[in-house]
Amino acid sequence: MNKIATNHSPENRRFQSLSSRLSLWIIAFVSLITITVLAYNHHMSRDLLEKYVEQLAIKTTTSTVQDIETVLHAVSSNADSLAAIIPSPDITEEHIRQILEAFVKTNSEIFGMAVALEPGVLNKTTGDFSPYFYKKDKTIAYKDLSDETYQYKNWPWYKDTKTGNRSTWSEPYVDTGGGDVHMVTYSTPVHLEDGKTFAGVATADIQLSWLDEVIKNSKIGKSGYGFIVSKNDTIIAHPDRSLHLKPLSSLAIDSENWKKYLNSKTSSEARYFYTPSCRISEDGCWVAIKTSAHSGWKIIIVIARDSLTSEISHLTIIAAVIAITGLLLTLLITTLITHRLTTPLKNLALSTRDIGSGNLDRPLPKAVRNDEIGALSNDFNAMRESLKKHISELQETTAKQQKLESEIQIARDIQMSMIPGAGTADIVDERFQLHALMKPAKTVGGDLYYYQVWEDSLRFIIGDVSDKGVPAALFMAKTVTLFTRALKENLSPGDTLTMMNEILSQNNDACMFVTALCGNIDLLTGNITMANAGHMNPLIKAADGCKEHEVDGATALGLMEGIQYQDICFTLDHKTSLIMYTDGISEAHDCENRQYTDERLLQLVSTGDAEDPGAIGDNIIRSVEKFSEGTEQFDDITLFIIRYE
Amino acid sequence: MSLTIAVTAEANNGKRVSITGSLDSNTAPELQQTIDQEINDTVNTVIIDFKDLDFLSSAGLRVIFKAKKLVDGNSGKFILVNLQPQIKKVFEIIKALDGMNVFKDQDEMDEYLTAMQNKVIEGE
Repeated sequence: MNKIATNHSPENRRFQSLSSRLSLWIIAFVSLITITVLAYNHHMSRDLLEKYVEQLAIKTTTSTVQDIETVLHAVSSNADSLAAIIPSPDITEEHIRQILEAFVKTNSEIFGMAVALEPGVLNKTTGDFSPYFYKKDKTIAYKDLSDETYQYKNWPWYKDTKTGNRSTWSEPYVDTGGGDVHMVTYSTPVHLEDGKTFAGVATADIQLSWLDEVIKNSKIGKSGYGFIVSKNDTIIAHPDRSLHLKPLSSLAIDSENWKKYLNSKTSSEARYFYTPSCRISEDGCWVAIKTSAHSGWKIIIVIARDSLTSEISHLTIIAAVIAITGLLLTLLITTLITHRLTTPLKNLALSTRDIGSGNLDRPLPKAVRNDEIGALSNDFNAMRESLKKHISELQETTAKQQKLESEIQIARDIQMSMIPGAGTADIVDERFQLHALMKPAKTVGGDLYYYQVWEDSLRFIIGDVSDKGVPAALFMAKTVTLFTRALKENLSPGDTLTMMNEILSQNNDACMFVTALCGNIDLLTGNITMANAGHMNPLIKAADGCKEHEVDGATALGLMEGIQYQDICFTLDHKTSLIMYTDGISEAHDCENRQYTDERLLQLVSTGDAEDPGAIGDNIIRSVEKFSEGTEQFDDITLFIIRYE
Repeated sequence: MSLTIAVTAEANNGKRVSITGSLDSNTAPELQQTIDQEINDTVNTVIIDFKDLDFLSSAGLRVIFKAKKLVDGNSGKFILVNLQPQIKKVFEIIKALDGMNVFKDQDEMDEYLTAMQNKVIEGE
């Protein structure tokens, strides 16, 4: 018991509660889903953001280029229209000055405009002529560029335009004479009416400071910014003003990588690419480039990749925090629910252990919920009650059974007390020896023997009631009682059986019957008178062997009324034994259902050395017991042996 | 050893109870139950067929005698047929064959039944 209890105690096994297992599985599963969703979301968001930023960058560069071109076009068209009207014969030098001043005054974008004429080409002048109007302190200032100090014909804006004979935008420069401002100049040649002959140059200056405003509008996100480089890759506008007029290569960039984009022939298209080396980010940058067809300027927008990544990471971290909070809440709720669900199960387990140890009195707490567990709890309670009832009934039945058994035991004592010697009798007399044995198959039986020595005679009966057990025992009692009555009435064996049959046959609806041999030996002569009521013939054993002695009789007692049993007389020699037995011996069964048989009994007694009735009896019983070893005794066994000395 | 009981209908409201195996104190109640169920006052002839019976004890005999008493009480005919030697010996020992209709086989029984039939017809 102790061992069993130990094996089943919760301490000795790896106990994992249902609630913790369920919570664990749910959390593991939900976590997996959440991580997958977060990772997917992170990836997709980055893709989407990058795509969005690309579009935005391209759009911004394109619109910036448009803005710049609008201004540049306005400025250049002024210079172009000035150049177109100069060759006209009606235009005098004074006219030119007036027009210049008017243009500078009316065009806010224009810082200054100049005209420089090639001496001797136009008829309106023979010498150098180069008036220049520009803005200074909110007024229009005039300067003659043809004076000795300036010598306009030696300046690139004039020389280059004359040589190239086409309009150009200059590279940015610092105008030292005009107030230290960063400027670019549009120069366009003045042609004669033939449209070919070079007659001078018209210029328009524009300050680069307005580009600062333009690139301010091209900011993207926190880190994305735009800047502008000239045709020759000089920085003309940058949020970092110290970089102004520095070459593009002064930015710590992988210029080789950029070059193919910067020099691309299809410069009108906006380009978008990733460069691993980038001044503003170690993680590299996304770069958008768009070239202005008009000026050859390039608008470049740079976006640090890590700023995009950090945006997305930030979003992902927020999502993860929300998810973890959700998971913890789920864990809490799952644990609470499963705890609520499994508490009745734990009570059930406790109750089961109690029932297992025999305590059926501990009731379960009544199930409050109307679900499966509630039903199980109620059923379990019902089972416990039912078990309790059954066990109590079983105890009652067992008590009854015990009482019955003790009663049968008493019945056995009574039955045995009804026959001489209470089941075994041995008499050794100088005239005879007697050995009697009755061994019921059950506690009580239906076999019987009885004898009485009266003066010089021994009167006896051996009988076998049909069937065995209690019914046979009752019938046996009646039979023995009738025999003792016959003894008192001093009836002959035949009359004894006749009288007994008459009484036993009456009202015998159960058709119980008794086979019996009844006899009377004259102990002086050995003369025997016997009567047989359906019993097996006795055996007679002499020194020279054993044989069956037929005692002719009639039907067993109890079956038929009105039978007269006959007395059969014969004489028993000295030193001869008369052996009588019941079919419990001859019909004893072995393990394979074979019978002991009369023949085997006859053989045993014939060949046996035993002479005394006790010894003969012991031999027979030993032989039968050996034969039927391993089986229950089949029927009541009775032996009755008389030896005439 | 067990007992197998088969009940079949016979001519003239007859019933044949064929018993196989061992009729002893363990199995006798089964036969008793069958007889209680099958045999009533409408059954004229009851034939107990011992053809395949191997063993008969006194408990079994009691059931047979009780059945005979029941049939006799209903003025029916109680017939034992196909008794094997060892079974017949059990009846002989207790001298119970007197007053019983016992036939060694089917032919002998049929002959008897036909004769009885004729007797009844002649009587009418």
